Amino acid sequence: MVRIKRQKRVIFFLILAAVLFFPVIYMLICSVWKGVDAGLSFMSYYDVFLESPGYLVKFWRSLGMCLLISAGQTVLACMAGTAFAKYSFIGKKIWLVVMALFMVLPIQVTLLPNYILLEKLGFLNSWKALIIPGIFSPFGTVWLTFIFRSLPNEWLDAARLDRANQLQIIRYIIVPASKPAIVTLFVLVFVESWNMVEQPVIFLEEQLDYPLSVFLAGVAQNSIGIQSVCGLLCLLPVTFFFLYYHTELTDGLRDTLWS
Amino acid sequence: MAKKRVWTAGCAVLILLLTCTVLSMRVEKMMRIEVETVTAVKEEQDSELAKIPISCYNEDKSSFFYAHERKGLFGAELVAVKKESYPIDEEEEMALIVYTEGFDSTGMKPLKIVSQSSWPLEEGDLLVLKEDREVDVVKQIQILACFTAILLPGILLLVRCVKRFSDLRDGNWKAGIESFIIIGIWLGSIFSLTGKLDIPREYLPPEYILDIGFYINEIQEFKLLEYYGRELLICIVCVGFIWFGSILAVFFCCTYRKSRKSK
Repeated sequence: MVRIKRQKRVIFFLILAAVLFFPVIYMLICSVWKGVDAGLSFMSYYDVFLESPGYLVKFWRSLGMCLLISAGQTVLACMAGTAFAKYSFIGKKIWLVVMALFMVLPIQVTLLPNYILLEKLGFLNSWKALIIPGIFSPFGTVWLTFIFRSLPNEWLDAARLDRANQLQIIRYIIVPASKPAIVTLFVLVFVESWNMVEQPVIFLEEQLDYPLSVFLAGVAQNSIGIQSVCGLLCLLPVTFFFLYYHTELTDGLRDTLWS
Repeated sequence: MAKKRVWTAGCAVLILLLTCTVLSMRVEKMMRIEVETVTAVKEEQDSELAKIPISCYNEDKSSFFYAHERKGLFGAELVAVKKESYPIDEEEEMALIVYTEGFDSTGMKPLKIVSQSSWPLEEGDLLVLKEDREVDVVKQIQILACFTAILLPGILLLVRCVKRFSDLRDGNWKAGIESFIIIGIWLGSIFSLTGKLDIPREYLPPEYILDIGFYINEIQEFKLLEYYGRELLICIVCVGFIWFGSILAVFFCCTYRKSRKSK
C-alpha cells in the first residue's frame, strides 16, 4: 500500500517536473532542430556565440548591471535594515510603513514619478536610470528589517562591549547571522532586475542600450533557433544562482516566514 | 560537493562565454563583406535623372544595395540595405535612374551604392569599404599557426584555472588571482593574434567562418601546398611540438602530483 502510494507520488512529481521543464526542453529542442529537411544543426549556437558579439556583449552588460543593482541594494538594505530593526530614531515606524507601502505599489504607478525625477537628474537614456532606482528600491530594506528584528539584542550589546563600531557590528554580527536571508535578497533582486522590461523601455531611447531581457523580444524574429539559444543564454545566470544558493534560498525564505 | 560542482561548471561556462565574446568580435570583423561603392551622378544640374554603373544592379535588375551607416555596439558600422529601383534607360555601361533613388530621404546626400562586393550581398550584411593592400601569405600562415599552437596549451591551462577557481570558494585568493591572470593572458593573446589576421574576405567562406569544406576547396584550388608547402610544413611541425610538449607537461605534472600524494 505504502509502495503504491509512493509510486503514485513519484509519477505525480515526474509529470509536474515535465510540465515545469517543458519550456526549457522546448527551447533546447528548437535550438538544434531545424525541421524535417535540415534535421539537427548547431548553427543557431554559432550565430549567437561566434558570428556576432551583439548577443554576448548584451549578456555581459546586463549581467554587470544586475550584479551592480543586487550588490548595491543588498549593502544598502543591510545598513538600513539594521537601523530600522535595532536603533531608535524619530519617525522610525512611519518611515518603515512608507517604505512598505512603496514596496507594494505596482511598478506602473512609480514609473512616471521616477521618469520625472530621472529626467531632472539627467540620468535618462543611460544605464544610470536603471541602476540607481534599482539600488534604492525599498524591498530589501523592509525584508531585512523583519529578519534583523529576530536577532537578539544581547549579541549587539556584547559586540559594543568589545568596542565594535556600527560597521563592524553589521559586518561581523548581523550579516553572518542572517546570511541565508541576505543571499536570498541578493538572488531575488538579481532575478527581478534580470527580468526587467518596463523600466528600460520607458527610460532608454536607444534600442542598442536595452538589456538582454528587452532585447530578447526583438531578437531575430524569423529564427526560432536563435531565439531559443538567446533564451538559454538568459537562463544561465539565474540557473547558476538558484543551483548554487538553493540551500540559502530555502533557509532564507523559511527565516522570513518565521520572522 | 554539489555546490563545488555548480561553481566549477559556472566558472567553465564563464570562461567559455568570455572566449566566445572575444572570438566573436574578431569573427564579425573578419566576416564583413568588402565592397566598392559609387555615388549617383546627376545628368545635368537641374535634371531629374542620375547615372549609376549598370554593374550596381542585382541580377534581376530591379534593385541595388547601398552601404548605410548606422550606430553599432562599437561605434559606426556599414550595413547593406536593398533599394528597389528600375533603370529607366541604359547608356553604354551606365544606367539612368530617377534622381531621388540615388540619394537619401532628404535628397541631399548621395547613397553609397555598392558596385562590387567580395561575396553576393544580403540585406543586413555588415560591410567594409575595400582597401588596396598586399597580403603577406607567409605571415598569415605564421599567425594562424601561432593561434593553433596556443589552442591546446590554452585549453589545458583553462581547465587548470577552472579547478583553481574552486579554491577561491574556500578563501584561497592567491589561486583566484592566478586564475584571473591566466584567463586575462589567454583572452589577450587570442584577441591580439586574431587581430593580426588580415585575410581578404574572398578567401573566407561566404557565410560561416567554420566552413571546413570551403577551406579544403580553397587550398586545393590555389595550390597552397605547392607554393607554400615548406612554410606550412614548418608551421605544422612547430604546432605539433608545442601540442606534444603541453601533453607531456600535463602528464608529468599529474604523475608528480600523484607521487607526492602517495608519499
